[in-house]
Amino acid sequence: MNKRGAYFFVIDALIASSIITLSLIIIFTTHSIRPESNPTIRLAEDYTNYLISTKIREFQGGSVQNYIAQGNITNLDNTLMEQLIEFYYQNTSGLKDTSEAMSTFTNDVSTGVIPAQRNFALYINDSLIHTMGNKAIENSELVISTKKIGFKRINSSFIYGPVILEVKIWV
Amino acid sequence: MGLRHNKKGIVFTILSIVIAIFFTITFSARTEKPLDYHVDITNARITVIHSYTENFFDYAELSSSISGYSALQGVIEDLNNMNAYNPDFETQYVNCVETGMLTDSKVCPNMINKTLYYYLNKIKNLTQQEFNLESSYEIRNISVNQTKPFSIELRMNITLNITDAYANASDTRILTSSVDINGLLDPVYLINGTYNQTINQTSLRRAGKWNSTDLIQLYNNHEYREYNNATKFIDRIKGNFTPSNLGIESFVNHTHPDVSYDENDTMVDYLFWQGVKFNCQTPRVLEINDTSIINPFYQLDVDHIDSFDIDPSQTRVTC
Repeated sequence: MNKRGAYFFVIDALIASSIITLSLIIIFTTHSIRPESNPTIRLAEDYTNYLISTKIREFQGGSVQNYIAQGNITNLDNTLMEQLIEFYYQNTSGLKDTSEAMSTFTNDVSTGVIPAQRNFALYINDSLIHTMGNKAIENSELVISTKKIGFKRINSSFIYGPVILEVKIWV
Repeated sequence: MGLRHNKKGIVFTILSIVIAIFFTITFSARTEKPLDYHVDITNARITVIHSYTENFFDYAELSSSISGYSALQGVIEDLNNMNAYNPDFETQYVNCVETGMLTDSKVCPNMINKTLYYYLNKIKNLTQQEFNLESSYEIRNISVNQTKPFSIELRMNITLNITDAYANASDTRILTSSVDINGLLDPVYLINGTYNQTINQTSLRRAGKWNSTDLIQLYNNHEYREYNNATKFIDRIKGNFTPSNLGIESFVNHTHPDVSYDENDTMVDYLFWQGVKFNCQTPRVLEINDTSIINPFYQLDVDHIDSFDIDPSQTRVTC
């Protein structure tokens, strides 16, 4: 009887520990951590502030240096945002086709700033300038968008803008 | 005894199930936060308002400089049309910047879609459309004066009021915009001269005396330099030739087919086009006879000869 009792307790303990273990496994495996929106909002805000506050002369990216050498970028005191607006002005006014320059420039200034896990698109006045990432925005569960007003003095008597520069980041 | 053991077993089993349920409820009850849990809508809206305020004043400063330049072009075009200086420059210029009118009944040329109100309405309407922010602004005490030789200064008081469901804001700032005068037609040449000349500041910077090489560059490239006691830009528009420490000057091209002069003339623009005559015998005007410096028969008053550090042996009297 004592022997049967011992077996019983052992099996009982095994069943109990199995139930607890199984419960814990179910709890922790289903407790997935989903990204919160706040870091993404901060990223979008930080990125646009970086475009607004960084001057061309402070940026050492490869394509930017090429554009300076080729004479496509003439004012090193332009901020990155002003340079994009200048490219956009040249493109929309028909002065020169800068669509590729805008995309390459945006890619250059965004690489390393926007994490690879995030998808990203930049628009000026609703025109897509550049997009990065491997997930379509339509399939995203979270899209963060931030808009900034931008303008650029072209010469003594002409100012281009204001335009809306929009950054969308999604996961 | 066996029954007691069996009861214990049941108790332990039930206990383990209770513990399992407890943990399950505890952890499962930790609901996920919604994706936008941390987004404080009011804070986000205030950030938008703050950003718009900064953008508005930056844009106002830049657009007043742009509008100011266009208004200078307009005022100078009006001088040309009237073939007369404008003694009421300050009042008419400010009107031109604000409304595109020189006076209540006289249009400022070339100011369509270039007035300060036009630019500020653009950013106001865009913000209303894109950010759903209602705003209004008021410009007061706009004035113009000159504090540097090659630019004029527009100063104004602007109040921006923003009305929103989350927050209202009001901000008043004094803006000072610099308006460059390079590229504008020189009113003195336009009214008194026989040919037109565009103001083009020289790249030369001299702390002390200038030299004859500088004169060659100024003369050949039709460049302007700062010069104490010359006529400043605003006075050139007003036809007021009072000497100023913000004065600028250029040198008349004496070989131009429409330029005629005599032995009493100096080729300094504001003196020559005013018709100021210098004594050629005392002498107060000299001819530079060194052709390595300038074309033959170029005359300057002795103060300017001295300002370019030209040796007396390189000059001769004109009569």
